Amino acid sequence: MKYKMNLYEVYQQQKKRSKAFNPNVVLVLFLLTIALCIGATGSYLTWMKATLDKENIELNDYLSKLTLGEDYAYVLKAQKDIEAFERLTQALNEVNTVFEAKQSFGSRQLKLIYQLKPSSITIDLIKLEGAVITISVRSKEASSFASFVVSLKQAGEFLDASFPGYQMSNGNLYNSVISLTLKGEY
Amino acid sequence: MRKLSRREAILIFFLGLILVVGVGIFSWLLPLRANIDILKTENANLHERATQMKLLVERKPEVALRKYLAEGEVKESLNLLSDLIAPEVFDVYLQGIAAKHELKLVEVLYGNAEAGSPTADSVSQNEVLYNLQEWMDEYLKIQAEHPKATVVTSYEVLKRTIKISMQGATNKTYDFIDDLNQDLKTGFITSYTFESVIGTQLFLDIYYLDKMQSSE
Repeated sequence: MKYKMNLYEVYQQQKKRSKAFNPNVVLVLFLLTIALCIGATGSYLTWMKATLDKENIELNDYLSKLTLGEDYAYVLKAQKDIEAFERLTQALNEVNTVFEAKQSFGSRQLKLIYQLKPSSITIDLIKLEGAVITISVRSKEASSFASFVVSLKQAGEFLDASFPGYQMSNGNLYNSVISLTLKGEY
Repeated sequence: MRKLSRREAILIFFLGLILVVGVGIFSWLLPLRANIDILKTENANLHERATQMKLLVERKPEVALRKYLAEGEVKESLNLLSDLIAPEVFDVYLQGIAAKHELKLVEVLYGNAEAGSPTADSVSQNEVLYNLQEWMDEYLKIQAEHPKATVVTSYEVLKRTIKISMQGATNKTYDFIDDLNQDLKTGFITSYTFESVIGTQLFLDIYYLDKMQSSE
């Protein structure tokens, strides 16, 4: 027999191999790898958190400085002022629109009344209330009232001119009241 | 020391695994991650705020110009309104124009200041309506005139009514009225009475605002 069986040697080799591939060591190594991975991830995340913390503190400092700065305070105040000015301007413009439309009674209509008045007519009273002018007149000629009203109507300055008639009083004098309505917005 | 059996080793491995994963991931990594998310959101907000504030500060000259222009517009609109009508000041003016036109002021009464919204009422002709009107208008080719809408505002300003009674030449009175209308930006003669014996009486409504700035 050329080959000899050495059972002890075989046992030693198997023992060495089994020691080299100890399943417990594999498990421990696996656990360690996981722990290392978690540790590495944790370290990275901790670093990231620290960086963000630092950056946020710096940003807060920057914002505090900016907020306390004169320029920022001026801009904020100015913006509020602008809003208030624009609000007031809008309201004033609305009010002024009314005043632009609103007309004031002037001398033009009065001058016209005297200009168109027949010489036979005497004006005793002119009264304006709102947009209505009432003229108390007297004349020796009854026909002059109608011609006065026609002239006033033709002048185009009044929306309406009318008279309710006339009556005689004090001998030969006739009295009448002429009503005129002004054109426009009052 | 007794050598661990395979089953014991596996059991300890799983216990270790649970411990590592439980403590490492759930108690450390996940809260850390949540913290980072919060910080990231905060960081983004701060960045946005910083950018906005920086832009705002950079816009200072533009804002200053806008403020100047807006203030100018307010002044322009205010200038269209009459100034505060203090009787002691207005009376000097009134006496002045009365003297200029050789008129004698008989009575001047200053009403109290009151708040009011001005209106410009469109004057319409009082017409008698009848049921044939529409056909008659059609026959006469008359187009119904739509009255202008009354111009109103809900904003209130101050109003003072002044009663002025005076004596003098009629044509001088007209000049007096013209001067009033010209000088008072928002003054309106609401009532006028001329009686040959008594003279002329006016009621003047002046709308105004107190434009004086308080001295702080």
